[in-house]
Amino acid sequence: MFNSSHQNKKTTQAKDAAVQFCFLLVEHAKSMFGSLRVRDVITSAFSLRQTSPRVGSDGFPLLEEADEDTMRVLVIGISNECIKAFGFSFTDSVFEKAVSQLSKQFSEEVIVHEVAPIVPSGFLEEWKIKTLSKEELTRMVNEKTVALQKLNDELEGKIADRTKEQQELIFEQERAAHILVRRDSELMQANEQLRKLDDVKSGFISVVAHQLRTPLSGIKWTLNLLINGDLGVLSTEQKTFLMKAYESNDRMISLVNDMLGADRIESGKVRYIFQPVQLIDIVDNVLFELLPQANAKGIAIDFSTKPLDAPKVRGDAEKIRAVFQNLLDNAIKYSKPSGHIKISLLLHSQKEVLVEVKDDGIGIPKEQQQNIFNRFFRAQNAVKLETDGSGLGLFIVKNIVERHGGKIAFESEEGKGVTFSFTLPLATSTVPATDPDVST
Amino acid sequence: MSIKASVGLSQGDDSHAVGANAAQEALERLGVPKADILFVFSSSQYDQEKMLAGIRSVTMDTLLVGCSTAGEITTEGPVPRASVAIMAVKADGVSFFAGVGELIGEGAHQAGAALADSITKQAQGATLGACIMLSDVITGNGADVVKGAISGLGDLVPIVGGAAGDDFEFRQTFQYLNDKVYSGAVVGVALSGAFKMGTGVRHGWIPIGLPKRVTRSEGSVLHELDGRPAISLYEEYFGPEQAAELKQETLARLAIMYPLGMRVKGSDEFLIRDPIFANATGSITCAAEIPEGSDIRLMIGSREEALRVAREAAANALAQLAGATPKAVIIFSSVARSKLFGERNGEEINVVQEIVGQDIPLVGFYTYGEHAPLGKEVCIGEHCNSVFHNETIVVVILGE
Repeated sequence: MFNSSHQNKKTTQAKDAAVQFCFLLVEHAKSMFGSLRVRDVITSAFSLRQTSPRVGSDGFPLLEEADEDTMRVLVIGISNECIKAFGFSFTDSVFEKAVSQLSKQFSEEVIVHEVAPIVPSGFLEEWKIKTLSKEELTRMVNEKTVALQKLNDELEGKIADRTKEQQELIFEQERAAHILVRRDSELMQANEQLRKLDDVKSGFISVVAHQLRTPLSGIKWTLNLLINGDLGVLSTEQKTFLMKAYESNDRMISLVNDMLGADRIESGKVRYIFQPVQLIDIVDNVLFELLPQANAKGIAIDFSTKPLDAPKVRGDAEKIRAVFQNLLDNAIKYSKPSGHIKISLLLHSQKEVLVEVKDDGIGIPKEQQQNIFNRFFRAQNAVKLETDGSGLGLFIVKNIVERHGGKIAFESEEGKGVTFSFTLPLATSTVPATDPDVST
Repeated sequence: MSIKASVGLSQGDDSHAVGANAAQEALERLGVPKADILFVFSSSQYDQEKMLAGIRSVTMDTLLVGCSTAGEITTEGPVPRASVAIMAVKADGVSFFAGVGELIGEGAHQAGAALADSITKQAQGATLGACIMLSDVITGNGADVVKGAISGLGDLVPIVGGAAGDDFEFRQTFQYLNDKVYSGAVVGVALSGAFKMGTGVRHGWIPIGLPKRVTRSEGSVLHELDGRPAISLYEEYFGPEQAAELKQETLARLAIMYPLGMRVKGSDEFLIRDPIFANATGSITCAAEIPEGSDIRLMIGSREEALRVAREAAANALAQLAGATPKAVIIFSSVARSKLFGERNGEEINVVQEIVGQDIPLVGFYTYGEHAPLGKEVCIGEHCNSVFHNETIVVVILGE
């Protein structure tokens, strides 16, 4: 409802246009939402802005005294409420209605000048386009265009940067890949060379060992004849010296056999036949053989931890025997006179037997420990003792244990002895003689 | 207990004796006077005819299929030196139909089809449960041989097996059927009847570097990558020093560990193609085709991955037996894996045996290529997609 005193006044007073616009808007709002609600909406809009305009007796702001800011807040407040309830299009149409009512009183120029500033952007766009001068429109479009261009340039700049970064990363990655493959390939080839060299070395040893066998056998046979008196009676002194020669020869034969043994294991000429095997029997057997040697040095061997119903292990009896022979032979060889050797068998993790062979001999120095299982390796302190040893014993032992699926390790301190421990798998069934190469 | 298997192994210098001894051992361990079929894997160093004659002198007319290798494998692991490994199988309730397709060099597809033809003629309508095929990739496209076989057998028959080797020389391989030695051929045997088979196939190689596009290729010959001669890929990666060697040495010897991989549907692993030869213009002949337009990656082997997936392949194969008891294991492992593992190649066989059983008779060889259904490995009764692989380990378990 208009205030009729304003009706016919086509005033050029600029401010009146804005005031009238607000008035019209408020009236429209009242008819949509009711007076009370509109008043509350306006009040909370102002409290949000933390401003409080002067209000009239009806609780509504005094429009004549309102400045541009105040009017803007009022318009926003109403338009938000309207958008919430009826949507943007409807709200825009309300604005258009108010403007067209205004245009009966005010000129287009005045409305553009006074009302446009208090209307939030987005509203009355169509009307703006219609009424704005071509120059103004062009200016607005240019402004927008410049802004968009700027945004676009920024984005393109960012994309160019990212792309450059990515390309640099890819280039580095490719280069790294090249280096990796090259290194890998070089390593593979180096390994191949080493393997070939190793083969040559083994081949050589094998040939030499084979060649030595015959002459050594010859010497053994000859000495035997002499010692037995087959070639004439000997004096005691002569016999003693011949026996020394015989012993030395036997030692050489043993060394040569060691070397041949290692070669056979390496070349896979050795076949394994796995059966359930009783370790206690093997150990007892080996100890029986080594007893004279041990007694000669006064060494005590303790094999007390042998459970009477020890489970059988899955293994090749001949090879396992070689393992014990080697370890115990070493233990005796490197023990001091009156030393102690202890052998124990323990059930380990339900699937294997743990064997320990412990001596208190010369032990293995720390810096030599990592090589102890290598072929032909003899620790410095063993070499110093001037005992025999091809350095193959432990190599063969490790090979055999691992073929059985077990593991071998040791603990040692120089001068205090060494404890070798290894595992062997339990026989999986109680059925006798399961040959792995036959299925039943 | 109607499927029995045993393995015999022999080494030595006399080709005839080595064959005879291996056969003797296999039969003795089998425990019955005659086997139903023998699988023979022999070093190419032996006189092939003499070796085969040696075997036949013991086994007479027992059905025999086999081939030369780049290394033999038995229950005790990879055999370190030249040998003859034989698996003897007795299986009541299983019929075996064996055949050969010759002259892969003149037509790989035709050779595969000829083999299939020979088999189906003998089978006379019996339902075939599996086909074990041993081929040659030096004279022809390995994948085409498989496709040829499928064209005759149909795609309900899983095809497993491998490409024969020659101790890493890449000159000539041999295939055996009964008393005859072939070269450049494919031999195979189909099984029908009461048995279960499980197959696992994996490689574990990983892609490295950027993808390259195959801009020109023809069958198994790769001409250009990204518009440049194919060999440039290896020249780039190996560096100038090694690149010079590439032109002189057989490419396979240098590059088999760094093959080419491409993505294929139906498998979460890349399908790998080994490079075999390079020619003067820089084109590379691979063991099987890489289609024009494919994106390929250079692949690099990792020992840990290769070992891990070997276990997976074994587990997959075992799972497919669905509770049946494993009676025999046949392993087709790429020679590249043997090179990758080096002295430790026993570990790969160990992990398979850990899964399947330490004492199950096992035979196998290091191949120049493998045959197995791709990806989804259960294919008895469903459509199999048997393809040609490289760099993989194929674990085949026979059970009942």
